[in-house]
Amino acid sequence: MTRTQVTNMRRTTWMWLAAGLFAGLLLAFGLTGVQSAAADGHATGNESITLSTNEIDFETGKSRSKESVWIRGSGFTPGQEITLIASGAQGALYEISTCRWKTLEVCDPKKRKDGGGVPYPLVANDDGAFASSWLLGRFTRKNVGEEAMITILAVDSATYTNLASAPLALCNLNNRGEGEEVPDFCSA
Amino acid sequence: MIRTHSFMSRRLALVWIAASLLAGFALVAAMSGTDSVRADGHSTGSEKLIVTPSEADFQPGNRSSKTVVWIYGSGFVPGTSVLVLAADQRGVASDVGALSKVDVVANADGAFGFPWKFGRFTRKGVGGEGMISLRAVDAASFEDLATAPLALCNLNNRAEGDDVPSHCSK
Repeated sequence: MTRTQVTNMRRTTWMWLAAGLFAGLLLAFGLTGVQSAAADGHATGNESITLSTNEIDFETGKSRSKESVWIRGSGFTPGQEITLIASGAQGALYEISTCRWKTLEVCDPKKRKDGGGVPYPLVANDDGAFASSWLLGRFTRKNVGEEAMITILAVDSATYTNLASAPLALCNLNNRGEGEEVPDFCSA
Repeated sequence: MIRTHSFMSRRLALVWIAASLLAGFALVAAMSGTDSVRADGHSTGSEKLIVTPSEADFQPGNRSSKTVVWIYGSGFVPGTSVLVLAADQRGVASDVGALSKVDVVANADGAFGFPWKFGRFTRKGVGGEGMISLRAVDAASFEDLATAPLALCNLNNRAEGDDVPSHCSK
């Protein structure tokens, strides 16, 4: 009778120990979400993007702009497809690394003047780097983009996880009306 | 007798749960390599590497290039010895600091800066025209700390009719 009791106690103790360890592991893994995201193959944790310029001429209301900016990235997972995003007027997000479609999934080079990124799709090379040229095109149209200080985001195309960002000032550098106030983020 | 046994079991169970929860946490903390690197004094987690310009003239096959880019770092732990690495054509990492005869060490403000003259990096079989990630790694642990993109482009001597690579402006 006594022996059975001791055995039961030991068995119960081991059961609780195992359950507690398991719960502790689950809880700890749950709390370290950022690290698991960085180690899941979609992020290296050292992604970086830079722009060829951080201030670009932007005339709000213009039907098409010929201005372009180079967006270059490093430290990405080789082979990873990347989407570049800019925020427009009213907070809407625009994919700027995409092309203008001719038909389904066929880029139309003739529509390049309307804006978008080249090359498409944007994929990190073997060294984890990429370069994309964003032509503003229709982004200057009314209610699309606006003169503003914005963040260019580089996100994983599959998961939309934010990987890196860079600042860009959209400024009316050449056609500001006389007496019009220069925003504090613009040089002219 | 049975009641006593049950009471002791509960108390013991609670002690064991607390102990094993703690053990679970400790185990995961020990396993989380990245987090510990970020907090072990070799890394601040805010390291930044900048290369300017980010598109540089690179004539493949040139015996010695005079092109210079400046490499800057910030947010490093003061005194950290840093290796700045660039992959050559075959993917082999070249120590850019050593090529520039500079010991790259973060100053008291966690920053550094030095010019990199391409020199022999343009020679055949060494560097190639391409889009590369410059990597700043801790010289002691080889831990990746920051990266910066650099476009190597034949800006001034491309033969007429040659295709311009998609990462180059011309």
